Amino acid sequence: MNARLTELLPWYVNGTLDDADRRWVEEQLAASAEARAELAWHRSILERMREDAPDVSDEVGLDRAMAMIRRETDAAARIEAARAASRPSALARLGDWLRGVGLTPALGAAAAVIAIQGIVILGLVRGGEPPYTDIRSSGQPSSTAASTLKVNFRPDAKETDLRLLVVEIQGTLVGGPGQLGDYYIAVAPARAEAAVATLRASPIVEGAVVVPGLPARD
Amino acid sequence: MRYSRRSPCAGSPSVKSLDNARVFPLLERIARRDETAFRELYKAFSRKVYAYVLNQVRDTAQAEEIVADTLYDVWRFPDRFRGESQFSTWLIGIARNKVLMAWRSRRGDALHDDIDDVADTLTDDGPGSFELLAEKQRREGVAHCLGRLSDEHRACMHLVFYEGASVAEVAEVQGIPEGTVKTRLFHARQKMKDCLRRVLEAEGTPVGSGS
Repeated sequence: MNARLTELLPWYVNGTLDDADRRWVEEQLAASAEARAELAWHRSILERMREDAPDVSDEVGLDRAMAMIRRETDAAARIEAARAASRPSALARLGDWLRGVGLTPALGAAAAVIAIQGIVILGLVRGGEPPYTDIRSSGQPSSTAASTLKVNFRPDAKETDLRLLVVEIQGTLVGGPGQLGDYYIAVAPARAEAAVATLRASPIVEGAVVVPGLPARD
Repeated sequence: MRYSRRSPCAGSPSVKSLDNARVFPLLERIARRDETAFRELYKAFSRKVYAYVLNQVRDTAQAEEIVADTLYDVWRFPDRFRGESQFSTWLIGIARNKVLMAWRSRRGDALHDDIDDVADTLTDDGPGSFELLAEKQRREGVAHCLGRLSDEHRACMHLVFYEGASVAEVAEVQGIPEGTVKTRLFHARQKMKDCLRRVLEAEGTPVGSGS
């Protein structure tokens, strides 16, 4: 059997050959009964395989996917609500402080705006912190809002699976990876124990423990 | 040899899915957390993904789980599809990774339980053997022999014959060069042929000894 024809026949029967190769194959088929027999076998394989298509609804697994979406949405809402409740805005904190030292609310608010503008301008002049600081500081939970877990993943763990695991425990990645591969995940205190158990049971996790908080920066 | 990009869903069995031009607007809506768009996309591709995954894991419950996980990834990261391939090809690539992960957790790194008792290469197929095989082989026999292939060979056969994928698409999904796709498919066909011959002979239909 012509080796090139043998190579091309699967793609001929599934309709993905380009015009030039398709014409060449058809020439071979016209000239050889053996080639036509091989074509018939390939077509038969294709037809038998397609006859065996699973008879399944187009909603197969849809409920499960929607449940995951609900969990993700609910977890995000809970985390956002917890953050909002435990962390008043910088403007509010500054306003409270100014009122505390004897300024009227209106004057305090005006002073707060001026103070924040000053801080922003100073930050721009100084060039700001390195990007990883934003990641760490923005997600760091207060000690009362969340528990912090230190997690080490297997070296071959895929980023996709890591993300799914974080979602599954309803956590938020707040730090890492460090030089030793440590990741830090914030979870609601009530869920910390269950989250550690889930993490330890995962094949992509090497270790998971509750820690007092994020490590101090160098 | 050159291969054309197939037209959307060319050769794909019974399952009607969307081409990229219709997929992108849905992805944009999904990025805005539009669940109706997600459901539409889900229904358009779930059966294609399911067929691929079931072909690999051979377990309907696990296949359903992987289909849901695969499409949930689309919900989470709709902007990751860049349109460099057919959406279904890209989606099956995600599903393949999840299948591999399921295998890793289930049986370590033993990904290849290839059939050792089936000759890897057969020579000098008799002129009548193809005709007999084509005429006599039944759906059950083909399914049986597919089940005895290695995971990668079975996936390759599925993508080409069931899914109607081009060599470039198979290479993309399996993460291998096109030349390796051709070699893989060659060996998969040889093993199928030998297995089907044995099945038919066991049923009392002599097909020839491969010579």
